[in-house]
Amino acid sequence: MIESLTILAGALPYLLKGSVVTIGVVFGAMSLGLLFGIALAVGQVYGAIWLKRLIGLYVWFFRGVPLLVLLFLFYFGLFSLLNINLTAFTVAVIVLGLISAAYQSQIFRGAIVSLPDGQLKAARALGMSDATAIVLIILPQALRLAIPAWSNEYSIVLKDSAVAYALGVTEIMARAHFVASRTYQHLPLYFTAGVIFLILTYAGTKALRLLEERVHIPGYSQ
Amino acid sequence: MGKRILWALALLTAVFILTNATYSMAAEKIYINGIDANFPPFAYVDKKGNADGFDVKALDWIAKEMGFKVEHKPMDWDGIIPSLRAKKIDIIASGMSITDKRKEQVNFTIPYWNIAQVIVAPKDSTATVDELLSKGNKIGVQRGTTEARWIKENLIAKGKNFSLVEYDSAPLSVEDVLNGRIKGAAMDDAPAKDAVNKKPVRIVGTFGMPSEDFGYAVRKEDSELLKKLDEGLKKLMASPYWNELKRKYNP
Amino acid sequence: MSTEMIPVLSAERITKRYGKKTVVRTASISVNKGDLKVIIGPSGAGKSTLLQCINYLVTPDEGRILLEGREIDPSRKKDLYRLRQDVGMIFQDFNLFDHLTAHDNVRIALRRVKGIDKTDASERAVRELERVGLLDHMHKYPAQLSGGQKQRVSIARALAMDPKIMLLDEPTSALDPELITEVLAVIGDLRANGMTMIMSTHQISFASEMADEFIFMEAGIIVETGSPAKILSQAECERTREFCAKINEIYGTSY
Repeated sequence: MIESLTILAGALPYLLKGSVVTIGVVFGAMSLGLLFGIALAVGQVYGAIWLKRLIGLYVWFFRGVPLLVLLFLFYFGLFSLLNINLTAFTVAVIVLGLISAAYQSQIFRGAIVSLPDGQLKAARALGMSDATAIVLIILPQALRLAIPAWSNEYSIVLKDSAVAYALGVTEIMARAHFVASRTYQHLPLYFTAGVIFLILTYAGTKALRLLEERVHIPGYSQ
Repeated sequence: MGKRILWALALLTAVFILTNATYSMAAEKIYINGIDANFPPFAYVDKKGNADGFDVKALDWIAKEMGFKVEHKPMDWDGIIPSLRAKKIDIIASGMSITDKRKEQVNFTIPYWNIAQVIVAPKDSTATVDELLSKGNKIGVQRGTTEARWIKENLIAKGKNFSLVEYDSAPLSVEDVLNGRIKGAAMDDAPAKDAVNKKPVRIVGTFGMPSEDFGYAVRKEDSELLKKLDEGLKKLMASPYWNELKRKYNP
Repeated sequence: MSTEMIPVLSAERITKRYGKKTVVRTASISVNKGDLKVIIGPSGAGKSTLLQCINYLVTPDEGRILLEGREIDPSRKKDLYRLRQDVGMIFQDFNLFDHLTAHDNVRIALRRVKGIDKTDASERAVRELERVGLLDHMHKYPAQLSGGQKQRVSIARALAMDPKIMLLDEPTSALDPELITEVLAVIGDLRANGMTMIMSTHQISFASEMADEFIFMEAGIIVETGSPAKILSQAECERTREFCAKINEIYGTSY
């Protein structure tokens, strides 16, 4: 017991540095997923039929193919063939981001579709172009509606990020495993890694909850 | 406010991808050695998180001797050869057995270590190797290793009555031996010794797999680097530091 | 001889079909400056569709729209956005932008469509809100306003764009009875100030006091037009008479 605790205490700084890596992957992937996801959602709701089909295909692909397969496809396949030398970290961010974009696009699409027709109509009636109306009227409302589902997506991406070790990204889980291999303290180390993940999940969802309250439109029930 | 956040995110993402895409060309050539950090005593990470182990220190010595720079990067063992071929890493010095199958994909240096494969079981068990590899028992092994392959092809395919359970690392399979979920685990003798030092397990014995040689792997086209590594290995094995390493890591 | 007067707006032979159903059939309306034309007719008569065809919120299958004598080419985006700025639209269910305060609702198109700078847009928005009596509520969000207040904000929003004509699509239909008066008062003000308008409504008695002309519409067709008095009491067409009789029964008559 004492031995486990000493090992854990010694390993903690190393594990916590791993959580910085994890946060980096998740933050990068969620940001990319957010921006790209919004574009996909807008395209899927308002785009021409060929664009809708194309986006449908994208979503189907990135939701259907397992994460590990995509990581390998991009890391060893696509980027290597194109001779683009990206670090494992960057590829993990891009792949997790592209997958998250597929999921986030469906969150945003749902939110956009749930808005009353009249919002876009009223914006058009004032002489706004559709692009202006989407940016000024539709997205601000849709993104607010999307926050709860988005926080769910955050905890999924957070957990998925552990798979990035397959490319050599030494995030929390990989580090816990390394220390355990040296010290044979697997259980305490995985437990600690789990606790770090829980804290990150809590902190993230709490932050989003605060954001939701902050941008809440007065007079609307939540 | 929301729009400002979106713009900031867009900018950050762009900057991030650009910097990551370009920074690899700026620095001078540093060879990256991919290691399986779950393979003590050959390769692991120390308390501070730095790469350590018999192979790591040996390669450091060779690099210094031969005048090149090397960095060690922990990799998932499953993807380590694809990583080498995709130029994500340049060397694998991490207890890799030289096999004909792997030679189709990479080139190896001269062998520097001969290793036997053994079965590990709980200290208090009295089972022999033959008893362990029968009666439908479950035996653990690290995924993607030569022993995993050999056992499948030469024991299970030939009718031995036991099954394999694959793990991410040898230490994990040892943990499951102690949990009682599997009867024993097959691995190289060096990590087995490491396990015996740290856990109540014993080495039951070898199981008929021919012993193997470890070598460093490089890409087929990197003959220059291969030459340097071969020469460095020879120098190392002739130097007193070699014995010092063996004493220190006791592989 | 009077000088030829160009109508502010004419809609000529507008037809709109949804699948096989023809919702509006060769309907024409022409409005001169300062006119208030009121479209009456049963629900589903195509009143709303016709109004929305006028500023191309619904694209008509046939027919054309002329604003001050110039034909609009809806395939040219610039023309289309220009037309919509010049034609103010009031919807039955207000369609205020839910995430913006009353002030921002009025201001946003001034800033982002007309490109007016922030201070001027803000001042203009305040003036329009004052005009509809909502100065005290300018910082409230739509969800904090009553239906009548919301409709007045939407009128302020349309007025701020300096429209040449306003289309009001049943502006009081979604309101509780006690809130109707405040909106009608604002519309009355507009009329008094010479705003050109086309309005569809069921508020027959109010409309008959205000309107220059009644347009009776049924099943997508403009059946009859004429002065309110004529339509209500001496309509030529049988269907018009039936409808007016029913309306009088429900809402009472001021005649």
